[in-house]
Amino acid sequence: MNKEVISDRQGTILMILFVWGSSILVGAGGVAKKDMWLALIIALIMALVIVGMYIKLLNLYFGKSLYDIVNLVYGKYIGTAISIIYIWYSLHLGALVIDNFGQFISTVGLPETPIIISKIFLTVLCACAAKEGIEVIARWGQLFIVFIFFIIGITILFVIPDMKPWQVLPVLESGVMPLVKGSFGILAFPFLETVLIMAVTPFAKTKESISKIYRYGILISGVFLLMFALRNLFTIGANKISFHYFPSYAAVGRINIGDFIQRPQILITTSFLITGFVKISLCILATVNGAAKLLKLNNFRTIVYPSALLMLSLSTVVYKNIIETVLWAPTIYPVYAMLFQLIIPAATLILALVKSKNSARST
Amino acid sequence: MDIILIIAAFIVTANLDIFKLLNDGDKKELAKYVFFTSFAIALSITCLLFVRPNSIAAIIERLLSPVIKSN
Repeated sequence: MNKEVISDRQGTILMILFVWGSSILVGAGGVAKKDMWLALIIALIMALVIVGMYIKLLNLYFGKSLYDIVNLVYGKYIGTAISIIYIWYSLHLGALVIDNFGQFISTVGLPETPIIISKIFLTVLCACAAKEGIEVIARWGQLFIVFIFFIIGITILFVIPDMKPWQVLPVLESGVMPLVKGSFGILAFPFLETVLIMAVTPFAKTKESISKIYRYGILISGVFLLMFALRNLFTIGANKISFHYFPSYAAVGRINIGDFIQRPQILITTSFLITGFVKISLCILATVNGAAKLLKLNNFRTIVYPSALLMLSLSTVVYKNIIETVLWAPTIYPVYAMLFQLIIPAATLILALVKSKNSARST
Repeated sequence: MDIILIIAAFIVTANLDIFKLLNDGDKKELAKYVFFTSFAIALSITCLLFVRPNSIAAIIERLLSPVIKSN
């Protein structure tokens, strides 16, 4: 298998697009209501600390992916079991994003069209991108992120006349618990989902690149998520955010400049398509990388389509309906994702450090 | 309809992959591909036929309910 390497800038862009993924549309931290912005800041700081753990792990085993690392640290049998757990997580996460996309198209654009049709088109497109490898996705991301920054700038600029900044006051109105829950929710979705970037083929040039990609990626994406949250809070308010399945879409729908520029929701739809496309493609890559290692395949590309279609099938059963999506994501998902995002990486890092200390002592 | 469309997509894409693998002449790789694709199709059919009245979210919620209640 040829080693694929991307530049630090491309890696950071991939990280940003991955974090934005579906959070750019469905929003994150809705539990914290008016204090969503505060929850985002707390989650961002916590995420920057926790990704230090991922960086340390990748630096200890430079040039290895998460699947190689767990096999080296835990041995063949436990390593294989943990690899299967991560293959499941990447499959499930990809399915969740595909479902978000399908629900969105079905709700706002094509209510008469069966949801599976839009999902099939998106999945096959993402599988084509994944088959080309991470270098192509990174170059594509580098090209399209300019467009997303333009969309963000335009939408924020145009909603300024409708903004009511006093809607975020008073701070901590509902107490501390919603803020804590909101922070953990944002930490799990989307920041620590970046654990799957470790499962994608090792693409960093140097050890410093890993740190740069992770830290700058999380920081930049976090700052922009904060801007989106403030835009939504200032425009439609915390109470109305909880009524909307897609708050960004609703906030941008308020734009009306002199009865001439009105309802430019297509802009936010485009940005969601771009970020969702990258996130699904990377989830497919993480899945096939793990499956190829498990089956000892020479080339991961041969199993891209079956994996993507399996993800598509899962996406049809991840949720019963959109209401379950809204209820499950902020309450159950953070607890469920903790195993993949925090517990296994922390245990792996501790074991890896003990092993490296023991080997240093014996030599 | 979902199941028909997804299986059709599996067959179309599998044909493309199998032609390439046959062309490469690596029988071991082809056998692994057939195994993985069959597994993926079987899992897809299981999901679409048997999980459908329920959902993965509900199953996970039930599995995690002791942890969530204690918190």
